[in-house]
Amino acid sequence: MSELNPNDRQLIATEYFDGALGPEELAWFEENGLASDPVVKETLEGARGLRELVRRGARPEPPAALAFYWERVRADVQGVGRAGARPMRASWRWATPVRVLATAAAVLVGIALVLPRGGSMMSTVERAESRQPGLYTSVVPARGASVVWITGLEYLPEGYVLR
Amino acid sequence: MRWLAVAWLGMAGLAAAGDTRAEPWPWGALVLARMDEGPNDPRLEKYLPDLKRVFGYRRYEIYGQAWGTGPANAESIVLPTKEFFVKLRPRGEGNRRLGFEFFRNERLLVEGEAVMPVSAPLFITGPEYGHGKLVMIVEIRDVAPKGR
Repeated sequence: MSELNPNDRQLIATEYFDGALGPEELAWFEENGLASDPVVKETLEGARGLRELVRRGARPEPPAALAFYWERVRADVQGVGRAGARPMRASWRWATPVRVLATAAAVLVGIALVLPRGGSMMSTVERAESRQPGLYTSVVPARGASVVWITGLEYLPEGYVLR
Repeated sequence: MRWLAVAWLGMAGLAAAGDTRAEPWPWGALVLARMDEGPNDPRLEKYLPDLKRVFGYRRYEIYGQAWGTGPANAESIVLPTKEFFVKLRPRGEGNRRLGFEFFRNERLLVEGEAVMPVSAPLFITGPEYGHGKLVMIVEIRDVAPKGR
């Protein structure tokens, strides 16, 4: 099995652990004695340990990025609810439609003068798609940058050296 | 009204001078986002607020960065690493609308079209890496041709 590098062995071990190997691959895995390979053993032990840890925990903690987004969604929802329920304050009564329109027009003119070559300062993704099987693409609107979010990409283990 | 005319002419002059000096040129960086504490790459200072707001990681480092092989108004390859890179080509008139293709080696991960003004970054997410994530930043920058 010397032709397999450690990254390949880790990937195979992960697929073995996940039950993702087909019958032929499983037979190949066992015939080649991969279960006793040190890298495979270490990966399997790590995965088992992680599974035990997750099962023992009272409540699995979501990944940081997910928690972060969930917090933003919750804040947005609460913000909309509050804004809808609150009556207009006396200090905002000066904001008559005419004044609002005039202010908006002035701001737009200001932005048009400041922007180089009269364009928007944000990238706008008009189309993004992945034609690869298992890959999904979405465009995430963000304040200062456009984001093309690809899901389904292969995990790269810590220490993987990019060329 | 004289001051208005003077100001207008001044601004037009400045804009014209800027056009002759600068040339829009694509730039890109492959960024490694991590959850651990530590200093951020100072070259990412401009992007940090957006990176943190969008991805939520604590630390951002540049794995590789590169200028495109051609200007923004022609076909260009931004190759911060040999493994992950972006091909850009202009679509339509001007150099703002660009077709982009994000590759890992020979494999095309995503392709699309974007309107990309100067200094307006586009983030493309790469794979999870260890406890972090790879993010490709692509941006058109106005640069003096000799200052690249």
